[in-house]
Amino acid sequence: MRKVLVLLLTTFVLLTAIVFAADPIILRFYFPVGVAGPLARYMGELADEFNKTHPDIIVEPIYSGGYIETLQRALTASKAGNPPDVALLTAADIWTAVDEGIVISLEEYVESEGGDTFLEPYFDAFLADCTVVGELYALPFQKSTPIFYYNKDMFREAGLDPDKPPTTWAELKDYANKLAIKQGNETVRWGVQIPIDQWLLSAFIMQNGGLVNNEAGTETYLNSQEAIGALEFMRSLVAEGLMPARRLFGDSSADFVAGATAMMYNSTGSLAFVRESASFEWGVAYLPGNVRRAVPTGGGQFVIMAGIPEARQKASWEFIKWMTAPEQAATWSMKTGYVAVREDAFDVPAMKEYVLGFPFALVARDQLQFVLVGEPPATHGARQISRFMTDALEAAIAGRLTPKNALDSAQAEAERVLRPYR
Amino acid sequence: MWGEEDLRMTRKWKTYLLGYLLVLPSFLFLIVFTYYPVIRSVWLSLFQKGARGVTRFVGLENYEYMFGSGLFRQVMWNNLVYAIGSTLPAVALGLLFAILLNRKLRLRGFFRFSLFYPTMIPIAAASMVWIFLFSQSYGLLNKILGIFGLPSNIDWLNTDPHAMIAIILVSIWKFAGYYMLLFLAGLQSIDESLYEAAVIEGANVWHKFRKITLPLLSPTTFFITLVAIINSFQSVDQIYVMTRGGPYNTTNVLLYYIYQNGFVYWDTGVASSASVVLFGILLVLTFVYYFGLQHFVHYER
Repeated sequence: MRKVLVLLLTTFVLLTAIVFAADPIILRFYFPVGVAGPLARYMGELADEFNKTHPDIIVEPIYSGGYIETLQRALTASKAGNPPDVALLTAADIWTAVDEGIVISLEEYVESEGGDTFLEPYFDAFLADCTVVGELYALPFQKSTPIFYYNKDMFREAGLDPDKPPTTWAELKDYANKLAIKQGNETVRWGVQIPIDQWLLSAFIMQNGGLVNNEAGTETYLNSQEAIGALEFMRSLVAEGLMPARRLFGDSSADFVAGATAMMYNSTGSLAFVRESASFEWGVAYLPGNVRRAVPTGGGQFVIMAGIPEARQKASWEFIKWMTAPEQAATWSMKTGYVAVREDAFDVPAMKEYVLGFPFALVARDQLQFVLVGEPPATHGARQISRFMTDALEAAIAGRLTPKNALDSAQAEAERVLRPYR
Repeated sequence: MWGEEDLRMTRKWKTYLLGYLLVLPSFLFLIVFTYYPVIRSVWLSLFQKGARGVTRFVGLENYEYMFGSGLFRQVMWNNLVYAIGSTLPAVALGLLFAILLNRKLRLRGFFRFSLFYPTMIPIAAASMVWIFLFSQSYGLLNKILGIFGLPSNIDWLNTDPHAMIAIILVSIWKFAGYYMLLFLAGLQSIDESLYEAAVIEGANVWHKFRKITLPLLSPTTFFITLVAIINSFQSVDQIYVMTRGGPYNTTNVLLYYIYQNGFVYWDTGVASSASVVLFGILLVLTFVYYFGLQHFVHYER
């Protein structure tokens, strides 16, 4: 009997010793950098601060390329049985991650933090990108939207009011006509540039009263009348020599600061670049609307990986909760130009001061009222669907296919991808 | 008692065994990294993925879709253009360089090194530099074209067909030096006395090239051409870095298509089907190579 007691006691003491001497939990966090700049350094600084304030957790941020590469690394590592703990994924890839079963639902954690009251301060516009068929899988972190940039000096030159940017498609085209400079048949200064990307096609479709996909993410409406009308409008800008056929986001912001275009659609992510580089007076505004105003969201959100012990998942939750708290959301927004993900981040004193000096950050925030459904396409196989959309956009803009034919074929391709999910 | 016959058999078996033992390590690697993945790809190409990890057996549906899709046909066409466009000039240039640099020249070593140098630079890194050379507004290529009064406002990587031309140029730049090296080795194995005899018979430079160099170089040429074609199916790095298959999929080739479907869309079924097609093409090329070696190529020895 005594022997047993002694044995039990020693075991107990030993176990306690082990628990106290236990190493802190080390979390591996895969993060992409979507835009150039010292973002990786800022991410390191934030993680350091977290580690200092949370002695039992050590977060190791691991730079993992772009968004595509981040999913590649997270997914292949998961399949190999060695998943990271936290990753920052784009909305489209969250659908893939959920379909592959490599991320966990966050509903329980949210519930334990108070449910809706916990989520309340986050912008609904951004939470939409964290949700797959009604279930929350992510918390928003580095979020952006497209925004309208215009050169106020050129507005004045053309006799336009620099404080009245276009609010409708009709005005947009009218202004572009006044702002473009043509020599013979050649345009030497563009009226407007819309980077060739499904992100903006989605914006135009929604502004025209349409939608890209259904809520369940199993159906797309790529060849709806609204979509065809949207693409026809974009095509007409090129056909009338007001817009170049093919510009990527980087090309457009370079053209804008070089004075090669008077107006452009670009990400809020370019605000910092334009601020540093433009030598003229410029402004930003909401995207012009047609049937209605509408804007998609973009950027990355945190997911917690499946297949890791519960203790690590809990620690991961602590980390992503902290990273998206008002202070950190404000810090990240001020350092990077991304839109802060929650309302109360704008009450942080430093942020209040920042927006005084840079009111465009508020335009980006206030435009969120026009977000309808987050970032479309929000479907299974979303990456592929957005590729079909970009292909259709490219083909129609280049005049290779009519907008209708281009969108018909995109819709047919999308049908094939989505059929197995119905 | 063992007779002499038995002894010989044992010895024979020992030789066999030694042979098998010697190839065993590489054979194991081949199984793990080549044969198993090939078989697995064939298997995976028969399935389609659905929601939450469910996969469904679909038979040949992935192939049916692929062969019916305009994109896949465009990809195959692009690959053909890329294969021919990069192989012929690179091999021809390699041969030309080799013949020029096989003579006794001043700075021969320097020229050989310079031409071979691109082979040693990782193609991804080189592509980053080429992006700048191809830039529309400040690219060196447009500047040079401008000096000669040629069209110099070309948006190389964003317009059709310039993007494909750009990709092909990088590929030629990358591989011509390597082919030169192989040709040099081939040239040096040609007996000098043949040329001497030809000169005595009154042959000129063209005759020597046409009647001696080219025939005796044919195994090398054949080998290099095949390697070059296979290269054109396997080198995709510069496409990934420079154009990502764009614009309008005009630089999307088979291997990039596989990458896209497999690792961007995670559509394992279609990616595997396309891999099987690529495997088939490379298999045919390999057969052509071994068959050709035996039948078409002129061997002196």
